[in-house]
Amino acid sequence: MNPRPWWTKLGHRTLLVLATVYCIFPIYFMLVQSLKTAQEDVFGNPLIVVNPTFENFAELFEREAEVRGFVGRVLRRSYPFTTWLENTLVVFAGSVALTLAVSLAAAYALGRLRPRASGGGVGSSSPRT
Amino acid sequence: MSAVSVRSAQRRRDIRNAYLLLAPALLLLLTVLGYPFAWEIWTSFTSLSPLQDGATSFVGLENYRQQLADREFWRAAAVTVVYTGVTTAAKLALGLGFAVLLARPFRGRAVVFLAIFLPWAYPASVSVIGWYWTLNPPIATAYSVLMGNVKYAVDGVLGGGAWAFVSVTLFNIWRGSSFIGVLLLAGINAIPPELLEYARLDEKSAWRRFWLVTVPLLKPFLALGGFLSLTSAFADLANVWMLTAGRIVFPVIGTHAYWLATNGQFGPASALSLMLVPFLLAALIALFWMFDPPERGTA
Repeated sequence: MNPRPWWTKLGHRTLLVLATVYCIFPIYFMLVQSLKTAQEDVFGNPLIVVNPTFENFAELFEREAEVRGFVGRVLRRSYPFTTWLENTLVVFAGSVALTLAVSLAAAYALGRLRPRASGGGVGSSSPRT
Repeated sequence: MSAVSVRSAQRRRDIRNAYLLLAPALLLLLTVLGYPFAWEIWTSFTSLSPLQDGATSFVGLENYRQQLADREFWRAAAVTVVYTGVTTAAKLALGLGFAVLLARPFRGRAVVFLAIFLPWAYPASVSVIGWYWTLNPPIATAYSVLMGNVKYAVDGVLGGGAWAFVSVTLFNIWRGSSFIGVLLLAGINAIPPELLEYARLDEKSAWRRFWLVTVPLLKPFLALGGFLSLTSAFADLANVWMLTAGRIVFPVIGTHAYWLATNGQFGPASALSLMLVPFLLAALIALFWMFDPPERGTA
């Protein structure tokens, strides 16, 4: 097999970088904003964070946090974040348990016991976007 | 003789057990899918509304007729068709590009694969916030002036609210192309390497090899990806709703139906959502035809 010319390789690399940036950018953007102070969020460069801080994350766990910095100390906001977390876990565990139990039984019934064994298998399942 | 009767008794027991094991799944489907669907069909023929006094009456096809005569409906339908068409075409093209980029092994392939997988694996309700902040910065930040200029430039050409619609489309493409890319990569990996080797002997141009060998062999995967993309865009509500924070200037059928329902017009809302069903069924039938062309019979 002859080696591929350099421009093909360069083109491949460039496209790979473009695809990676395209796919990651929105999540990177959120990460950067989440690490910023309110001041930097307003006056800083949107694409990078100069003074990273975890105060936004810490604030989530304070039941009644003061709105910091720029807005002033007028507003008090409550973040029932731990409640949201609990709710998420309950919904997550409940739906996974129910789905697994029900579909395991159904899959065994359709796959092994074959109530109508004359034909082929049951239609293939499809993933969801 | 007795061996046969034992086997048939065993078989009968198996069948009984099978239906017992299937019962919970059927019950679940009936309660979460069957009942709401039946309720919706019934509602679409009635004047049911929390806003009206007096009894609910049966109005026949009046709700459907009312929708077909409504200009808002045709606008929503046109937007839905454009939205579905543009996103599906872009998702298939981008996804195919991703899959081809990743088809051959190279250093750092796993990292790029993870990056391309991320948009789909990441929860949509969270990544939509990233897009919302990027494209429609809600508060005064360093880049909201820049994005504001883009927004007003687009809205100036295409009319108010156009930028919001463009951003919904971009988000849908971003998320869906990731999934279709992974799906098509699996499809490319399933092509026997010998086939590609033979093709290399016959055809020098990589471009022509791609269209003559890779794409036809990927057809079932393209069909599945296209179908999932079509249905998710066609009946979309959540993406549009979240990315515009409910300020919808360009409604699709899903958001229009939701808007009608939240304004108490249950009948027209049900009729509107049911009008999508024939189109989705047609897409499903087309998908099965592409999977199993009728002349080969069904497998």
